[in-house]
Amino acid sequence: MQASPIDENRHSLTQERFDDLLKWLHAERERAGEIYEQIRSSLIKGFCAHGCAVPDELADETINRVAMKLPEFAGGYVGEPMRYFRRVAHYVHLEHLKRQRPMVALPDDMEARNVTEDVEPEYVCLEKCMDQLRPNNRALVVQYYQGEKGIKIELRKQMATHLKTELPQLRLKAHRIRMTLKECIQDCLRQKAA
Amino acid sequence: MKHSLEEELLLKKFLLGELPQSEQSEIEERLFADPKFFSQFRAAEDDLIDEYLYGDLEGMERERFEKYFVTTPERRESLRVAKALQQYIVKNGPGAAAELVDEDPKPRSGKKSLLEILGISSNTLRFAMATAAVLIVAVGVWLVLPAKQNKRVFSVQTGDPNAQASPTQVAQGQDNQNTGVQPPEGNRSVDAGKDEGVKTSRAPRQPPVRYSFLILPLRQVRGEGTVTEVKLPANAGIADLKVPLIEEGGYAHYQVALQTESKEQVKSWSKLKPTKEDTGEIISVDIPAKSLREQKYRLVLSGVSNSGEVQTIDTFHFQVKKSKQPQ
Repeated sequence: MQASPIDENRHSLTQERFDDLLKWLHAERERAGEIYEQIRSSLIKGFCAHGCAVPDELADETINRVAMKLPEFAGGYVGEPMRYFRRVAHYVHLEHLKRQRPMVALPDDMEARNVTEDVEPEYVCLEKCMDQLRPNNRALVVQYYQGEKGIKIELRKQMATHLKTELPQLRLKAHRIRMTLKECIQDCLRQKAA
Repeated sequence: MKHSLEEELLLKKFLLGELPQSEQSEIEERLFADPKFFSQFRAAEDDLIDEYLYGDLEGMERERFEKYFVTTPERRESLRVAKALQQYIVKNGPGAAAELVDEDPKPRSGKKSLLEILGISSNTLRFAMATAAVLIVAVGVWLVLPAKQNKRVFSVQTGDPNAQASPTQVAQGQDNQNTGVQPPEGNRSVDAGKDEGVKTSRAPRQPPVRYSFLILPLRQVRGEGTVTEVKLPANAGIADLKVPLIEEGGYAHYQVALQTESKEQVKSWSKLKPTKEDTGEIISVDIPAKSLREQKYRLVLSGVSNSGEVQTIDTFHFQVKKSKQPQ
């Protein structure tokens, strides 16, 4: 298993760390500054493409994290620095999404096999959330996810034909509806917990 | 979108931490660089959770799922939601499946649409055909209506003459109406004569007007590198840029970013709601025509879910051309 290159806490960049980062990017400071700007600009564009509302902040957070991790990996790192920045940016993006949608906490020590033992609260919320979906979306998500493995694949092909779409598009559409349901369930659970 | 079983398998191995470090790193990079791949990744998380719930993960995979994958609060909650969904489907499945048939927006009565008769099934093609139909109607209207109605006509062109792009360019200012086609030369001279007469009763300069342009995704414009052309006449005040919502998304609202081809942000709009037009659902944004230069641009359309999560839906490219003549 590979550890995430992200630390849990945000960091502010000291002058010393920043200087080390520039040295890693290029031996000549001026050229290093240019590369730094290119990387920052590329990160901002990347976060924009994911629809993030604060792309520059996330780009800076990514750079800070790389700078903080630098002493640990720089010696053995092979490849373009930009590639490492992108990897870190992926995790910064995931964390950004999590911050936007806090979860209802489950006990930390709960084993995976016990997680699904009693999902009554989720089920009650799910029924409410299903009622809020448009009938066609409700039907789609139920039909998409029903059946055993072999039957499921065949059902999905039939659905795609019926809806005049391709399987990958149908899969993404079902996923989006499921995300909407999940968010609705989380809101419902939070309201109950409050 | 590149999508294959191989890619699904790759994402599954990534999620279970089964890839060698070099491949793991490549996936992490791509997940940031390619928003569509990121959407596939999120769908792959759902699929993996379902496989676990339905007992399709065995041995080492099941163990890795429990010890590696489902270790975060988010994924645990996803697992519980998936379990609830599984129970709901067992209880309600058959009834809901019937709804899907009933709710089909094009119910199969005795009558068949022209598109069905032609055997055209993809949504994209249906959209393009509908767009072409609007174009044909527009030509008819232009030919039939007398020129004294002072309807102005010009074109939205693409680099490819066969492309089904943007026939709904409509000038909505004052009495201008743009049906999106060039009149034949002979007819144009007749119109020009009649326009002269109209012009005598008007101020010599045209006021700034609003022009609408339908921008289609690249894949709908045949030929490599061809993009929708947005022709702005000198009197264009507002450019109304419309992008089609080909796939229904169920998003709370939408946002659009206008960028240069090098992806520099020019302007963005948020909290947009779709409007229904003849050709389908449309997202529309206004920008002062003077803000646009003669260059290529891209419009990035994203959907925003109720919780604020944003997903990129599509990117639409267009080339701005400016005319010194008012229309």
